[in-house]
Amino acid sequence: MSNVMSKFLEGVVGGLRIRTWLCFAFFAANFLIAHGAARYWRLNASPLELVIGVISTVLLLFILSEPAK
Amino acid sequence: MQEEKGITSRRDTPEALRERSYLAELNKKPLLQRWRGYLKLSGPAAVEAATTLGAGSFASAVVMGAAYGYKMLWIPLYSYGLGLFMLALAARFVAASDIPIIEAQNKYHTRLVGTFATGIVACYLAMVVFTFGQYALGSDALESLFSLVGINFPRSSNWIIIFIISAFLSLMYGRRGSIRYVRYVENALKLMIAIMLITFLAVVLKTGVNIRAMLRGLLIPTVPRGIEGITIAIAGLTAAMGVGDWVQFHYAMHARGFSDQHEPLARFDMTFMGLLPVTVVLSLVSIAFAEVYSGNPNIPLDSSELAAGLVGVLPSVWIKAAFFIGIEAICISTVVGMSILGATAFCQAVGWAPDPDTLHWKILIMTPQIGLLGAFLGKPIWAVITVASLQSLFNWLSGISWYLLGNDKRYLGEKCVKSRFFNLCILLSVTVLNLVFFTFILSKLGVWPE
Repeated sequence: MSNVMSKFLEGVVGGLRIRTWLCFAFFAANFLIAHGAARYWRLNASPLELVIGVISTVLLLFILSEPAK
Repeated sequence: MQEEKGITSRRDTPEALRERSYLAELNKKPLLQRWRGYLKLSGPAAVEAATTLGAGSFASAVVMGAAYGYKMLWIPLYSYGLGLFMLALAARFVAASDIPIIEAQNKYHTRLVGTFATGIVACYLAMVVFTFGQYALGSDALESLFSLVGINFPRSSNWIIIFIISAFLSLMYGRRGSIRYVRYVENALKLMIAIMLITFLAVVLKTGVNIRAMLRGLLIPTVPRGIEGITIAIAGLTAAMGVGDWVQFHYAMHARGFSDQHEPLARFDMTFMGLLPVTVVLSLVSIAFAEVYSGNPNIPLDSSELAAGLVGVLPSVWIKAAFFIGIEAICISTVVGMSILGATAFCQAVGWAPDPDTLHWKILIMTPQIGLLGAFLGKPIWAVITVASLQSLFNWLSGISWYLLGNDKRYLGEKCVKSRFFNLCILLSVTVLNLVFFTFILSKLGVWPE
């Protein structure tokens, strides 16, 4: 299973160009955390943006931490 | 024959080649024997630690200790601990490639990232502006030190002591194309770090320490709930380590001629000459202030007033003197480290050889000494805010660039990052820099608290 996952991730971040674009997606996910936290704690808005930010950041951390083969 | 590029072309010198073949043998020896050998060869991390341990981190440690007691002791340990992975990446770049980092960023990621974000903003401008604070604190401490023995030696004239020592050591770094002069400066900085450790330990022995609270504060991070907690966590994790520190360590290794055989030495160096002294010195400072101001509801907000309060309760003139000498070591060593980094980064940014025997290097290494005006004027707040804002805006670019270079076979070949854990920790550092950027922008828009 982990071998399959590793092969899949390698396919995703195997190229430097796609890794670079994923870094920008990661950047956007971090924005959702900061903006979502401010909206949730300061404006009492729904925590949805914060939750989406945290989940997408964790997901991208998992994908981007795959080393180049 | 390698082209002369100054401190970035030292790995083929006879001294470096000798050290490399010695390390090839040493790296196979048992742990303790290896560490003993590494200890003798350590040094680049001391240059980095000397730069980190400056007036800014001292003031933060003072205020944190006085305001929060032992609760924020974790900040230097965790901040530097996270930064260790970026230092390890800096060592990998040196071990696997002849191209220094700013050149590599220019080559693979445009000049906006290398020259501008890393060379000029994160390193050169920051080093020039932040020396004002070193002179302001250092000259203040010298005035107080001399007043202990009834001598009036005001800031307006005592700055010359800081200037002479720091300019002498900065100009000595790497001169005559020799690694020997790099090591002299490294040893001088190690001595100053040892002075900080001894003097602040002497102070803490007098103020007392609550061992249990210390261990809890050091190991268990605590932050308030909600947005204030996130702000403190972000500020805490960037407190002791930034892009300038990664770059400093990288070029300090180049200046010593580090190559592939040096990577284990570099990791030993960053742990025992970087993490350990930085954490211990800042923790000792925080503990002293935590003990003196514990339970006091009306603590002063200014770090110099806080320091005056601490000195007031120290019983012996020798311990008071030790406290001021420790501060002096902090300021002088930081000016030296900042001058070296400023000159190296500027040369790399504009494509000049970082050669200590050239006129442009000598002029560049002296430019941060403009900070001596800090002895007269204090810190120029507008300049500090401008540079800190620029860093908040652009440091994330450097962070992402370092991560990508760590995974770039064009740069590192087969030595690019192979560990998921290593990559993850680099990405966590990048996350912190991204959050610094967003919280800065959002605070300017009034969405995030200032």
